[in-house]
Amino acid sequence: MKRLILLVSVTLLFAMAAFAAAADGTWLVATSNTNVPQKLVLQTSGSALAGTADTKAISHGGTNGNDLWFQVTTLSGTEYYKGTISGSQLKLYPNKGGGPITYNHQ
Amino acid sequence: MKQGRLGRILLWSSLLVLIAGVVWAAVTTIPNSALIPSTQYYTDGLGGGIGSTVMAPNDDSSAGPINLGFTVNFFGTNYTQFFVNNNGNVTFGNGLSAYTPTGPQGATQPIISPYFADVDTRGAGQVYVRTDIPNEIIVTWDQVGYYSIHADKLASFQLVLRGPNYNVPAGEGTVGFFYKAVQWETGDASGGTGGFGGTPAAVGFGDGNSSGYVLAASLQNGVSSVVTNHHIWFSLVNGVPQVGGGGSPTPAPTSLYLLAVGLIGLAGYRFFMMRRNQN
Repeated sequence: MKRLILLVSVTLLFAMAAFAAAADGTWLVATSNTNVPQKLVLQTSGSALAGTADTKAISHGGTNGNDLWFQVTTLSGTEYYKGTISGSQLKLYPNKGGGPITYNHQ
Repeated sequence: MKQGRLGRILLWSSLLVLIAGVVWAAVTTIPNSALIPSTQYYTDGLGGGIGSTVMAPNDDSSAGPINLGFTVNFFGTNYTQFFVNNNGNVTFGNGLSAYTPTGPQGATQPIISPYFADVDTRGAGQVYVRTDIPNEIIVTWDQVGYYSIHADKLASFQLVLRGPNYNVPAGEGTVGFFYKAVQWETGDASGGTGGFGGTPAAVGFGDGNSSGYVLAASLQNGVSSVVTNHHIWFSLVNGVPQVGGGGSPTPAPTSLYLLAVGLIGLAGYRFFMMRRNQN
């Protein structure tokens, strides 16, 4: 019985890991671009995306398959971002240009 | 003494009006009533044919530079090439990957925007260019979807750009925006949900700096229903867009403003000189 419970628990653990959205977790910038967020901490809930870009909370976030998008409000206004996830890499495209910026999943 | 004081007041007034005018003259609004009801592309009136696709299905890509086949004066600069951008606009100088219009002009480079919004052709539609008509280029965003990969609502619109040697028929112009059904106005990354809300589509022209000519509905909720099944012609008079065909152009607000500043300044100078002569 104990073995059965252990087996089910391990199976559930693997299943949960497999179902975790690709965007979830911490992403660190892979380039030396200091004009973009250096660290993204993202958390999905259904198709909604929440989290932080450096110390600022993101807003209007969402995901659809490998696409993700969010906004960051700064003193100079709203900055728009969209990106695509491929494996452990996220390529982010700021609306103001300068993309893609590559982030690595931690 | 009184005349000298008045002269100084007028001089300072003209300077203040000049500074205020720089801000005021930045954007000219085109009334929505300038749109003419229609249900076809411009090319439908020619028997059809929207040309060839210029980009594979994509999000935020550009094609170009593409030769115009003529020279166009746009806000005082001559261009012989242009870029077609997936997001409902064409630009001069460089392509544009921006997906959310920023500022009233939409972007910080010379731009013509029949419908600048976050087009996504990965789900539906394509962008076409027709180049076979002398002195005329036609770009069509045909039944295009919106970001992210949405195809539940589509938009169909067309840009006509003519060179100076095109024999423009009466009632037409050298730049035309033609709209069929436009069912969405905002992509998900621009704050939209289900194609609406957030920062809606921009419609108009921008010089990349401070001057722009935008439809009143531009960047406003409801812009899609304003443009659907309409068209509008513009003429580039000395590179500056004006609604309608050629002929005697209505003085642009900027010109009238400069005239007013000049007259006030002249009056101030006259009073100032009169005072000096009296002394």
